[in-house]
Amino acid sequence: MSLDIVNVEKRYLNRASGTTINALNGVSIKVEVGQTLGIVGESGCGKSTLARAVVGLEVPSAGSITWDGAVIDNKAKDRLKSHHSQVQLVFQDPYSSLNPRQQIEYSIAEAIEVHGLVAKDKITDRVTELLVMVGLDPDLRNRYPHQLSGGQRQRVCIARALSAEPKLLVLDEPVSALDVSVRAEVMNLLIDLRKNLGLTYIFISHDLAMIRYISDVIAVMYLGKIVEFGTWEEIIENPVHPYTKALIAAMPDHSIIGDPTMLARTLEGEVPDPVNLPSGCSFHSRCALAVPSCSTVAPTLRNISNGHLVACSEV
Amino acid sequence: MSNPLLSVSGLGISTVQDPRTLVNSVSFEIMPGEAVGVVGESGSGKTLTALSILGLLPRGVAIAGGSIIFNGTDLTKADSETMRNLRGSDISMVYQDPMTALNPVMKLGRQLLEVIESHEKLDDGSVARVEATLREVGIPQVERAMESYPHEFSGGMRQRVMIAMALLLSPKLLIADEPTTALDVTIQQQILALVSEQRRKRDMSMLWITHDLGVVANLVDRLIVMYAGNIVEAGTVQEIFTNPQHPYTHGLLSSLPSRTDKSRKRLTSIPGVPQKPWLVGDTCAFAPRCFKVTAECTASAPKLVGSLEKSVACFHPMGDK
Repeated sequence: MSLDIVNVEKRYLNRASGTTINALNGVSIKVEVGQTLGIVGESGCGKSTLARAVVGLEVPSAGSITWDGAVIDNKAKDRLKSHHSQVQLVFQDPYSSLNPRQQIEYSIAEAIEVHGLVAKDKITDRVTELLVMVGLDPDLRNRYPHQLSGGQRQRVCIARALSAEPKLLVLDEPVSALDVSVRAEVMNLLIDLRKNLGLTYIFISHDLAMIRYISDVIAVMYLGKIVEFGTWEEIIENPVHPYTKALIAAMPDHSIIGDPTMLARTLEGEVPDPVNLPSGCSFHSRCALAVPSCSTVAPTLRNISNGHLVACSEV
Repeated sequence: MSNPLLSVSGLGISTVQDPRTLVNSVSFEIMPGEAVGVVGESGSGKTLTALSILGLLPRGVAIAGGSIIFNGTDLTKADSETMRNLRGSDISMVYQDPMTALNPVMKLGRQLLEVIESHEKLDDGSVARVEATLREVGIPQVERAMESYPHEFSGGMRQRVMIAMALLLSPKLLIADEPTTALDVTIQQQILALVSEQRRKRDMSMLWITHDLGVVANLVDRLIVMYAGNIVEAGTVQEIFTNPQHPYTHGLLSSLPSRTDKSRKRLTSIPGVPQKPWLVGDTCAFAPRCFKVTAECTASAPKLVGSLEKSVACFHPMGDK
């Protein structure tokens, strides 16, 4: 069983200005069951669009996404529902993804009911089970979201996602909105759940330290494309693409102190507008290695060693 | 040793009605040319401490005690005229969100000139002075930028404009409240490099507020760690990062995944959630979450003791083995 993302493109038409935003520009990646794929990139790189496409909230403009051989699209509502019971999404902000007027028990029970996984009279027990699973006191079931801390709320969101008994969990910046001292707890919970339930994760973040901590394989995205892919050790210890190198160098790290090179500028300029994509390699305008051909020929991902893929002609 | 540029002692901040303590007897100093970081989670009182220096506490919140001596003047006793003269010229501030800190319907050139105008008379050189400062912070096509509105710029460029605005009158102290939190990491690094450069060039003091220990690790000289309205530990960056004494600092550092940890060992988490400052009372604020807690910790509040290089407010610091 695997998730197969093949040449996925996603464009949004801005009706007011008549322009097209190129969010995803040909993404191909395969996630094996039991694996954790980390996707890292800066705002506008398409990582959240990809997450939404994987759970069927967005329909690709081109290409396909298949889970266990079944294509994910929103053409057949029944199929999408069965897909949702296998693939679930946890959002970044646990404040806005829970209904403020519903007790958390109801938020979780609703998801169980929709998927019809448990007999009606057993739903209460199932909610208890899920709350315990994510490390919450079942007595919190009658609380409203505002009565819980950020970490507790994110646990509720995780419990709700797990209520559908998914195989694949897409985690879109799940700890970014939490206080620093509670992030570790949620990360540890995710790692325990992965082990105990045999889950497959797609973990999306701009925080390379978190990605590095949880992922088996890492994909680095830039302007709607994967520029480098490999095992976590390969990407972090032996990055090859100039963008990956810059991203790693820019990552603040508390374990490196008094090092003036940490404040050296590694990357000039800003990410180009996804409305007017640069020709050739989309990174060439900021790249120190760029040669004239980079502005005309778009590099494709090539294998440089044992599954370590990079899209750059100059390395 | 020279006199401190800023000396905060016993500073308390609380709500005016139904008094609730928000910041509890905070003391620290900033030397001329020194960069000090304040690290804390949301609600720790780091932003209120900074705002009180500028006399910009939100309505309903006021200084409840202590003093803030800046360059020989006690700012807690200064009138609004004195404070207005100080703000933007001697002490300036860069906020987290440049979009809300800039006026969206005024051209940038005009907004920057206003900063000069509020402190001195505009003259023929004023425009050139603004343009030179914009160039210094790395704004391209400065003449065009002067005629642009904030929305025409990216987040990183807007933050550069905010920094230019703060540097315009050559302040002695720059206060920065999480100015890079909303930015992407590569842009964040550009801004950190810029600020670091300008600080050295101008020999300016800096107070940098953040929740991200990684950001300040290479940016500041000394660090203050705040928790639930109290300073729990302070010291040089080297001391705090390599030899943390307070269990909270220690726990915070070991809860962060690091680039240099090859084993990816389980993160150590701090149980529970931060305490509300007004519920702390006369105890150690961290006691409910601390693994070293004893009866002593809830009987009275530990005082911050030590030197400028290293001080800690704890009855059982980590060094006590």
